Amino acid sequence: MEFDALVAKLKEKWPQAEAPKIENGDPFVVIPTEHAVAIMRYLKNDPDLSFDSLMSLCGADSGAELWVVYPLHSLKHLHRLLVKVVLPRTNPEVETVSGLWQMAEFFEREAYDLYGIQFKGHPDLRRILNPPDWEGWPGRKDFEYPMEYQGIPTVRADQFFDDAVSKGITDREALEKEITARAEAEVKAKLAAAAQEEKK
Amino acid sequence: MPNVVIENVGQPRVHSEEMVLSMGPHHPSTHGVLRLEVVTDGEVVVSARPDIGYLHRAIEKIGEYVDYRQFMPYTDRVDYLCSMNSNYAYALAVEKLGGFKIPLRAELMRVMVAELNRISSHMICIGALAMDMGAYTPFLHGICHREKVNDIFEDVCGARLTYNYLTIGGVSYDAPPGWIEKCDKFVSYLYPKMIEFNDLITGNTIFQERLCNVGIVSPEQAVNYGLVGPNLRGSGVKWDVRRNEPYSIYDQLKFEVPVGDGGDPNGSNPQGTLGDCYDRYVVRVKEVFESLKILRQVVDKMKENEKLPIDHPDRQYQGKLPARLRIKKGEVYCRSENPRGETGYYVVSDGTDKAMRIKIRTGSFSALGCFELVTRGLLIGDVIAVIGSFDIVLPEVDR
Repeated sequence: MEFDALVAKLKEKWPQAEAPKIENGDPFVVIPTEHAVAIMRYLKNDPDLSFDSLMSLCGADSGAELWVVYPLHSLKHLHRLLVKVVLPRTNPEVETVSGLWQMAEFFEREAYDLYGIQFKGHPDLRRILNPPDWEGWPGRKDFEYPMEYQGIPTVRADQFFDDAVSKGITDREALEKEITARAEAEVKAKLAAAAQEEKK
Repeated sequence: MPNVVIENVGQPRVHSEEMVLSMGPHHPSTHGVLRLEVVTDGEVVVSARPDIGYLHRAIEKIGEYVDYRQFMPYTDRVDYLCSMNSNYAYALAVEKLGGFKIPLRAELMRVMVAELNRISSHMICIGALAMDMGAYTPFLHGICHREKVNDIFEDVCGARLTYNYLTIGGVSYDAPPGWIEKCDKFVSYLYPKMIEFNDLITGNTIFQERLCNVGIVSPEQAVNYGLVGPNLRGSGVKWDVRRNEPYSIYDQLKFEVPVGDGGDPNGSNPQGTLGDCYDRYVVRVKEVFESLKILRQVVDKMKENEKLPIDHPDRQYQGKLPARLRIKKGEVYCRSENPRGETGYYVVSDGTDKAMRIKIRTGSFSALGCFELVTRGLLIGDVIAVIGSFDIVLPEVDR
């Protein structure tokens, strides 16, 4: 089936599904979050649609909102459909589709790891690519790269130099002094914090 | 929880005390930095959970900071065993999104390097699988044939591992004089060598007994777990993107799609079961022969193309593209057949010269998702066979 026929068929059962007008690229369908899994089940089990394989699954950040994208494909009818769920940036939550397609289990873990999207009912929602104690959602556009991870600096020393050069400081010795001073100040602050805790 | 549960042909449980064995991340047979958390009961695997992310370089995120052309070298590093195919998958996606036209000669060159790279990647896979099973010599044979492919690539683009050869709109360099004849010679060279390779290892009884009836994936499971490429075809599902959703000039080429035929008395795997490790191995060996067939046809097409006058539009190796690529707002999911199965690029453009999101869907990632199910009830030694037969390349998993 062509895209228009697929959308018409889907809208018969689920009038909430929308197919926005596009100028370029693949056409896609946006489905409401609360009915996401019910619609997916319909897409998979209806004999005329029978989307038996999920090609991929990913989260995305458009700046204003988060997406979960499900490119579906039918090995039986050889047609495909791009389905999208739009989520808010705070508490993004959608039901898992890993009950329909097992491969979604790993892909949803990745979307959770990078975008912080909660998949309700997922059997094992843990971080997959990043370490388990990583903080923040690195895929998002507003993610700030941490300066250190478990006491290990994640930025090279010469990046401090780049920073200084952009500020107009070119004296290398002065820079090195500044870096040492910064490191010493950090150590002092940590010691002070530890001492305060001991007092308590 | 699993939809389709089919009990593996496994070993009986000993019901001794369970032990957690951490296999990897530095283990010679995990093909990279893969760590497996194996819970064992005697010699029997109760569960083997893959722990990945050791090689995570955030390539997808880098794609949001560099422009469309600059991202091409990063795609080399997604899967270093088949850089040409990785380049190809990305180029296809961006060209589909931007609606760019590619001249015929560039298409021919692309198919040629893609098939050569498929051969060299399969050489590593089948050689390494044999090495993991204890046969060292086939690996050296595979490496030896792969060197010939690397020489051919060095002639055309100067690099031997990460080529960065394909560009958006064509290829970086035209074929140097004598290159096509060299490819033709390679095809004639590899044909008898592959038959020798089959004599050496494919028909070897010890090798067969290690792989037959081990790590069985049924066709329904394979589709449900998102296995792709040779792993999917090994389970008997006849699906090849080159054939069923042809891109480039694949619709003009004649080739077979080999599928696993375990248990078929007239097939190549009579004593096995459909979807076992040996089926996946045999599919790869057969694919090498199919790639050689394709190469023959493309060499003939190239020789015809050489006869055209030098300024003919079909003779160009690069399309006419603007210096700075600005692609209209839109998104595309585009897939192509790589040695490790279909690679899907989901590219979203927001109207600027950089992508808003690039998602790379790779075959190894979904193969690892299926890993726990397949290895349940196997012996520890057979876990190695399953890793080898899935042909997992870790940079592709972690990206």
